[in-house]
Amino acid sequence: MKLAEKQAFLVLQRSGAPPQHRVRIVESLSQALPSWNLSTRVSRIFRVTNVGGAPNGDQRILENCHLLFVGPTPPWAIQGVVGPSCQLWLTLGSFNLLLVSQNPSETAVAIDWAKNNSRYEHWEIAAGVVKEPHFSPEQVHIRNGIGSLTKLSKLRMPSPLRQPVSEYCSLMASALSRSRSALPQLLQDLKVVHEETASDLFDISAGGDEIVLADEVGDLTNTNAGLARIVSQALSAVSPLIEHECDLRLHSLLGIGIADLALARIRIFAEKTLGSANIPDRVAHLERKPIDMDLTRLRCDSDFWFSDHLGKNGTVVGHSVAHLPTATDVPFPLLTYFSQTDHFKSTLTTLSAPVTAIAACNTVRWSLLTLTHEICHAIVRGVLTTLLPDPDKTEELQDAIALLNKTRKPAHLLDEIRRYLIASVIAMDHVHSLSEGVSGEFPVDADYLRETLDRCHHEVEEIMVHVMDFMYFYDGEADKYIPWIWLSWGVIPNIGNRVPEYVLRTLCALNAMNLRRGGLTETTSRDQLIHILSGLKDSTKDLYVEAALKHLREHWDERIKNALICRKGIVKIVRAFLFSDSIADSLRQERKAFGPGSKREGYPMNPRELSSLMIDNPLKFIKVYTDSGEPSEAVSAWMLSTIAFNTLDS
Amino acid sequence: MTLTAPRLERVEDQVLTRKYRRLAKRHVRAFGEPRPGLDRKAADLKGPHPEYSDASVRQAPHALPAGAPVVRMAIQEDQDTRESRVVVL
Repeated sequence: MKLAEKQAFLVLQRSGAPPQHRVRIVESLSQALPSWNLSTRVSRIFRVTNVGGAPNGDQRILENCHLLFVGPTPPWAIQGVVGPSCQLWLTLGSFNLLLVSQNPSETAVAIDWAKNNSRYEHWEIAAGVVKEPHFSPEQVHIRNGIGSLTKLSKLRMPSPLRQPVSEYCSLMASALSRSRSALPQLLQDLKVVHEETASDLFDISAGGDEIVLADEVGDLTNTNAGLARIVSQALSAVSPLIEHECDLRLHSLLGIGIADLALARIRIFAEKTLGSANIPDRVAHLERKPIDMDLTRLRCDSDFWFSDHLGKNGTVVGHSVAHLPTATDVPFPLLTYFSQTDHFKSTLTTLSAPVTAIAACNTVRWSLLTLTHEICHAIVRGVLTTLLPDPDKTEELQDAIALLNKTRKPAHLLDEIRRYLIASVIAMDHVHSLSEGVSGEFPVDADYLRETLDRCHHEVEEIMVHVMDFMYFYDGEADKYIPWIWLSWGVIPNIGNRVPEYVLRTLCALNAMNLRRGGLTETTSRDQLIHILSGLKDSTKDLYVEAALKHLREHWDERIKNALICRKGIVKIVRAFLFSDSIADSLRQERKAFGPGSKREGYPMNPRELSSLMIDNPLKFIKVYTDSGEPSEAVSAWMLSTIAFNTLDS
Repeated sequence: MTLTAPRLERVEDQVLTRKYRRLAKRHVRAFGEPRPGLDRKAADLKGPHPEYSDASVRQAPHALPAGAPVVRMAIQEDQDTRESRVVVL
């Protein structure tokens, strides 16, 4: 089974006199636009070749025929019931397969199969008009199944939360009931989201300690935004399809359930590997280790920076794993969705990717691998809550200053890491006053530290995220990482003024792999970046890349070099205390999909071929198959379908 | 920073778990959420780090009271490796 190279569109609209729902397949959007009216809905579909028999391009088939929507179902599962006169199409909706046939008996066989194996909706088409649809009977009776939603809606909440809670209840009720029908794979995660959210809200209602209302409103607003997208996009395809519309115009007929399921699979994989490694916990446990050295004075090629401090055989945390607290909570599943406005973004409850990626995720510019950057943000936020003082607590700020100016001795390794991080932040803030061999005296009180953290925090977090992303998800390979991040920046308009920041962050990431070079660390990273960006400039003509090269060449000595040195402490902290080779191993492995030979790193599938072969590392799969400069809707759909249906659950 | 034991209790769960989210809410409130994606939006209220933007946007330094603690720092070159690094003196 192989997807045709070109997409088509399934078009549904009310027209004629009397107005009736009419359906047709067109080869391009431009063919649908001339007759577009207020009821028109379309969805991308992709012809599956090597199965069935009806020829491509025979549009007459839709005049009098049967349309059978089936899914969510792995494409290969239906292969045996596609009759010789049928056309099979792949869609991105949760009805991910569309069978078109003029033969009633072949259609009946497929319906019988669908009754036992999937969900279906059947349209009989006469003279292009959709007759009464028939669908899986149980879909009519599905309810949300969560009684606590009613209880939650009756809670007496503080006024800022009343409307968000009402909205949440209706959204979650829709999400749960629709998920049972349209995308059962999401149901368990939605239940966990609800359990956690409801528990938070019941606590608030009971007047729990240390609750900051603004935090809760913000959190619930993000949750509601994610749920709204999921309900209206991923879960829009519930029967009868004619009554349920997706709010994305190019997917308004069938929604994007399978694309969303692919996002969820990627998130689950990252959660089971990097997330379950408990990095914030492991960092927090460094307080069990004594320290008798000043990290600011430790040379960058010291083995200390390259030890697996977090791993099982860490030389510093030799007993860390065995003594780590067992996680009793179920991880909170970030709500994944595609967005036209949020782009790649993570909050404490959501994770989004740009809608464009649905049709272009086969290119580096729109690769879903960028999600790893967002996942790293979640982890770094957890680590920073352990490393940085609470800016609202003066005593914590003062204690950080005492550590910094050595009026308090670090009690353990964690204290020393905190001291080094704060020292790096102060150095970043005073970069113009620091030069080789000249010492500076900087007054630091709690207010100053609070303001400085406020100014520099964002950059500190971004540097840590870039280093982490580079080390864990790109294996520290500069020739892979640099093109991927710079091309992904290239699709964002009007960020030319940020190029100096991006150059610095890229150099920080490269420094993590060049620390062994001692005095040559910074210049090696610079030369690597110039070399790779120069190649990229020639092949892509990217304006930001050109600006980056100019900035590197013109401002290295007077601006970039010292700024990089001031940030090296942050790089070292991530290299030594957030990165672990043993954790990274779980992200590199692909144990299932290995075929003979080294082509595509052992993956035997060819793009657009719908295989039943399973994979267990969707990130590696993405990295291997994201190899084109030109977007392809068909290859992107194949990638999303493969991730959605071929990724093993565990 | 002296509250190390309670801190440890508060993060004794996995990334993305309920307790972690509660802890991180404080962090997000204090510092805001990161910009979308790899800084996907051009608009950012705080703007880039002052050292990496036009000098005119650099904020006025906080007025420190007399007798505020002093931190002494320098960029020093390592005699063996010739590495330049920031040290706290």
